Amino acid sequence: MSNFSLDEHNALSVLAVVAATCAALIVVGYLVKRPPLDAVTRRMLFVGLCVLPITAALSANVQGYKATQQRSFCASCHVMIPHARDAEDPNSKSLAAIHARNAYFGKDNCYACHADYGLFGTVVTKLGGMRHVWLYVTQYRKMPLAEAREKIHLVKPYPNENCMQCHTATAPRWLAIKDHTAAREDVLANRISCASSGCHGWAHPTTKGPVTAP
Amino acid sequence: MKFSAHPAPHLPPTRRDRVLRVACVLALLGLALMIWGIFVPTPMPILIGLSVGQAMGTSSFVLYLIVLATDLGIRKKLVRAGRTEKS
Repeated sequence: MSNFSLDEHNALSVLAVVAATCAALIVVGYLVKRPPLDAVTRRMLFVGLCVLPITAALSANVQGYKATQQRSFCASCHVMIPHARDAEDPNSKSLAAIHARNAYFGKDNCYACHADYGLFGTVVTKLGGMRHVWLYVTQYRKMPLAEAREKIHLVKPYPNENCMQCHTATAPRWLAIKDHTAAREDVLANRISCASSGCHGWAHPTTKGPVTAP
Repeated sequence: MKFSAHPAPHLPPTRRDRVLRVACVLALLGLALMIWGIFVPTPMPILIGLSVGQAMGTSSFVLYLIVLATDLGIRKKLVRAGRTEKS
């Protein structure tokens, strides 16, 4: 516990656990002591069955949502372990590994690159995540990694728009690169993927083969 | 359990007692499931906490409200108020 520090990353977890513990103490106290249902008991039960559980639920929801963005969450399904291992490899030159070394979103790099953007981006991403969980539980849970590598693919081609959320395709520096200007229309139309062997290399070479670029 | 201070007008004490006990047990189970996802942040604990855990917590609160409403005779008062308005 010497390394423990209360910050924005675990404050909600602490709040949820404290609220749940206090609620549990009140409820267990009621079950054990069985006091008469007078005004004081009613108020105590209101706190123990409503106020504190709602506090615990809300903070656990937010914390759970944040947990689903972390690479460790994605890697908790065995078919994602090779991807996560490559992303965490300091010697890897894959796009996933390069992004995992980013100080701002490195630990959340799966979500940062695979999340849909736009007005309903978060909802769409989470619905897609639910689909992943369903497919994993019903089809891939016992699938060997070698078989998973062959069978599991993206449901649709990776959109370049996701790359362009951070890497603009309109800046002079980007346009100054001849390959970019030559392929600009195809890149914008998703006919050429930024994450392909002819461009910046595969994001996850474990499923494709060796990294060939940049 | 003794409810000498406010005897229930509709639910006999034993039934009310049972309902409240069920509410408390549901709350404890719901809280445990909600917190499970914090200690084990993997898909199943988080999904179960967000769905089953919260359903249990909500059910426990609804049961508590039912007991409370019955105990305070709120339903009777509302019916009486409705009749007064109509007349």
